[in-house]
Amino acid sequence: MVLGILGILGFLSRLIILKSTKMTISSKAWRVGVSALLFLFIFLWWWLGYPELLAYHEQYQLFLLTGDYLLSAMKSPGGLADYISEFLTQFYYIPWAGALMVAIVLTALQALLGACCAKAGQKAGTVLWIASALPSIYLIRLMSDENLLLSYPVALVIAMAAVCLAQRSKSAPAWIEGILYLVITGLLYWWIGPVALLFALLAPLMRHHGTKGWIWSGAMFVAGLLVIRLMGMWLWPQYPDNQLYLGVNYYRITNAHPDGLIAAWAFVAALCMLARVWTLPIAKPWAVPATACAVIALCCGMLAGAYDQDKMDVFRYDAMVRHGQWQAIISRAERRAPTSDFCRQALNLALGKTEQLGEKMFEFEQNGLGSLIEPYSNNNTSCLVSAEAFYHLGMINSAFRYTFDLQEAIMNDRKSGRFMQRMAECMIIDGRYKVAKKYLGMLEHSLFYRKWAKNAQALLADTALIDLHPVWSEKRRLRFKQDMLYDYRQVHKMLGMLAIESQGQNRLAWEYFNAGMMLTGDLQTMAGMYHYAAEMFGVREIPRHHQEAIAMFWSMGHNSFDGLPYPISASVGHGLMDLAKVYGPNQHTPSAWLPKAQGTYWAYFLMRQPQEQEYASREREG
Amino acid sequence: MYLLLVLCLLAGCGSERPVDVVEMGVEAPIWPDYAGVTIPVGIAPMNFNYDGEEDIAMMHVAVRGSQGGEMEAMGEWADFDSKQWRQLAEQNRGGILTFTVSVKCKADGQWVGYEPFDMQISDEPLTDWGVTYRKIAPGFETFSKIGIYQRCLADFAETPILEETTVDGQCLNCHYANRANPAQYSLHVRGKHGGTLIHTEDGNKYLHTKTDQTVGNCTYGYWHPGGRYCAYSLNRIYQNFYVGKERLIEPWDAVSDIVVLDTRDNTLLTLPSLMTDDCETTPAFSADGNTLYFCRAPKVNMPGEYQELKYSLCAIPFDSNTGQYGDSIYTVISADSIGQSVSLPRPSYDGRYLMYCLTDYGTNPVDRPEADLWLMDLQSGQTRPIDEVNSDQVDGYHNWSSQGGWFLFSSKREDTLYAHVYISRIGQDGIATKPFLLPQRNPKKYYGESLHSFNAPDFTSEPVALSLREARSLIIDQSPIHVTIKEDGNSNP
Repeated sequence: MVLGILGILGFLSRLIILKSTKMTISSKAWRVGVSALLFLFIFLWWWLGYPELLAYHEQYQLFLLTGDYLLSAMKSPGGLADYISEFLTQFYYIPWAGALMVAIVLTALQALLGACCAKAGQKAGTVLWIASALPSIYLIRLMSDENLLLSYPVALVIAMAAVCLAQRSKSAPAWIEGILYLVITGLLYWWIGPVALLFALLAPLMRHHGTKGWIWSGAMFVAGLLVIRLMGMWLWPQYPDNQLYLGVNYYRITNAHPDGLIAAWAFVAALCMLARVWTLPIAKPWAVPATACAVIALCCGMLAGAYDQDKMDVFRYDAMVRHGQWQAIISRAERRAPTSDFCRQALNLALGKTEQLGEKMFEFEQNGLGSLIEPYSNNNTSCLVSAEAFYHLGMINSAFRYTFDLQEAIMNDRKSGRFMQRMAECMIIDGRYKVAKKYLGMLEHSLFYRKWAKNAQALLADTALIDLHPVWSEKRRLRFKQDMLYDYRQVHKMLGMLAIESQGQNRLAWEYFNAGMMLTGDLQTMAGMYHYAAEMFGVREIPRHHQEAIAMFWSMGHNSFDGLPYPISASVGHGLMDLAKVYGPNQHTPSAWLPKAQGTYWAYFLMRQPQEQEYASREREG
Repeated sequence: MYLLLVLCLLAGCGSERPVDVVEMGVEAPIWPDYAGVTIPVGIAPMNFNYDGEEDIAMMHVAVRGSQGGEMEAMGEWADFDSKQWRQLAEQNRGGILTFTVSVKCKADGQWVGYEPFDMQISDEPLTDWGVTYRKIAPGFETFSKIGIYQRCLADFAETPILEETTVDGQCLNCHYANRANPAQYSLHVRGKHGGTLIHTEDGNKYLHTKTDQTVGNCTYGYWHPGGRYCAYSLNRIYQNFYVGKERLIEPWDAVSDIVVLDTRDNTLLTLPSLMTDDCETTPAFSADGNTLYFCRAPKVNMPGEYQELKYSLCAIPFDSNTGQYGDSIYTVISADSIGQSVSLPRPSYDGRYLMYCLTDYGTNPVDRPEADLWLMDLQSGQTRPIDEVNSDQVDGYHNWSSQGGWFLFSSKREDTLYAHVYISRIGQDGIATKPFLLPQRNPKKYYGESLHSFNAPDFTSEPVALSLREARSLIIDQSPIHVTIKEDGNSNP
């Protein structure tokens, strides 16, 4: 159905281009060229520039190809735009396909807007066509905000399609026309939300010349507001006024309505109004290329600074963690040092998965326990890597808890294919098969998770097969067998217990335990357990940072390394001695001793600020 | 012509009857398990699905009443016609409905029959219009779509009373009605605009219930039958999380006290012995309103000693004429003597029974597989587990119907994580009937696709009417009324 709608839109755009009268070959070339160029630009911009943002969007929805899903969407104002948007967004799973979807939508908007403007202001048709690319570019800028949903551009496309149709429809008696405007505005409001006011404003204006058009336009806009008011009262009393007038689901944070959304709407309306008032012919041969140059310059201006490197880093690291691209994570961190705990968690997980945590982690900036695992916070992003880390570590309950709450934190109340998949895995490992089946049943109705879900269902049909599954059987073996309460402050100690319980099987837990001990400065516990655990894990050569930590701990109570029960390399021993000589007299002048400690645990240990351990049990308001 | 063709096809489908049925001689594999349950006359059709291993093309169910009448259902699942169902149930009040299930296997077209099963139709009516509950994902620290809903018992219609959408995403907490009376209830909102919405015959008001002298907001509530007072516990709830495999979450009270709200002048009636260093929680008035039950546990070092936090059931006299507490608190069930913890006391409205929840420790049975319902006969003082309804998963959050006899509770027996509503009845002999899952049009689809727990269910004698615009205005736009502590501890009669 949705493909059909897209097909119709595509056909419509083509029809508009070809059916426009008095069009020279040069005009046609400009129009096709502008649209094609815009399409290509948007496609490349998203595919090459924002693949991580596409992945980010994809994971905060779960489009189901069921009648119930459509009906559920259609219960809200703007439901059809949401439905189409979510259908298209599922293709973000494959970055190039996602970029293609965005390009189709934004180019369709340009083509429809261009067609409307060109017809209204025929004397400047080509110039207006070129200028019609601006709102699409402005939307690209807006869409660098990760919470702006595709439903907004989709709503604009549908509204402009309706305006185009109205512009080309036959004339009717005024009272019939008035009723039709109101009915269509009401229907559009149901389907696409308050963007429908674009139709109420522009359709009369595009159909009627002169003062009559403006009066009709103003009257219909006011009447449209009234329609929304009445529909809100009767059909959707649960929504507050700000959502009824500014949109329920254009923006992921349902109570927020950025000014940019109104600006984009006004931008589209303003272009159409400009086309309507344009009366002068454009005869100068340079006018069209000059307009093209001006539009390109404006586009550059709008897109300058759109790319937020730090934010995109977060999304990129998350995507790499999701797909287990451990080496790529390390390489990226080596190119550009992680700037947030989120990225550090991803890096440390990658180092842990490749058994380099004890060897390399302090070559990068670290920031306490939060560099390993994030305490839960009520948003849909900051605990993504921690949830993954828990899963890889075998803390299945915690992985489930974080993932469940991440899904619940999706601010427009959508579910997530990624999270649902992980929750199903956790429930399978935990042996809660009925819950797993519930999640798998939903995933089976999706496009990109269906195959995985069907395979998992097949395993559930014979649960003995789960013990043969390479990942789930391992996790089931490595998880805690006894129920114990813990809070975030103890998470690294729990990992120590998990490592010991595994009898040398859970290497990652052991790596994390030592990392946690070093990050919190609890070297005594680390050193106390090290011999026993290292033997259990068959450690032949103590990782460098572990040596540094043990040597540091030993040096606090001894004047030499004699009697140290662990083999410390000569370079570590000498390094610490050299550092001690410089550090002693210059304790408060880090610039004097820090170069000697660069890339070692000592630098972290000596520079770290004792962190307030505020996080205890989590209070819940009663 | 096409219409005619479609009608012919439909007529053809409808006329198919089980033929050459191979009798399996075993119980019908149906879900929900409605075999042997007792239902009230006015309940919605008890639709069910095939739950066997065969891939079936269709299911046929023949229903015959012990006092006459019969009906059939055929299709993907047993979807009974509402009108016929109502007539058949009415005709067989106090009798038995016998269900005969046959299914047609998709693979070979063979019809397979199962042993018939019965449902008892109670001669005691369930007069309440419907049930209310909060739908919430069984999460941990974050909740998205939350709403308080009402569901008509005579059909499958569910409508929202209040959803978080209306109140800018604020968390909505439990809805407490006075004996299923929709004209009198309270409802909590958490978050930035947190408070307690009180709905009485006089209208709505929104209260800020934290004072300088109390430890927190009103949390768990229970109305005095007279309608003027509502008892609340004031809880500061914390939660910890489990590693392991059986349990996920452990909520516990760091501090909790009991107060009574006088809704006439928005004051709190306090008593030092209900605001001690111990934890006092989950109050409930007796049927005559002269006793206030609550649970109390000595303070322990939490969360380390969480397994030592065991609540006794206690009571204190209460005089609604003067608004005064009695002199002494007495213990009804001692946690020390039973080695377990009591929570959620709920006296039946006829004063005959007191139902409560028993767990190994703590006060919140949300993630306690051992949580079971117990029943105290208030005449004999005898207490026993209601084994007829308990399962090996959480059973709790129970409430009585307004006319007594019937009760509902939520249970996680189905899948260990999501709570559903079950209904049962205590007979004159004090024995409960086998509980039945709240019926749905297509139960397997409805419950299979639901990602919500049905939380804190209760009956409602009539539909709850709450103006969403007024509720939003009170909660979001206006300043709440601040409750105060009643100076002399008494209320004017």
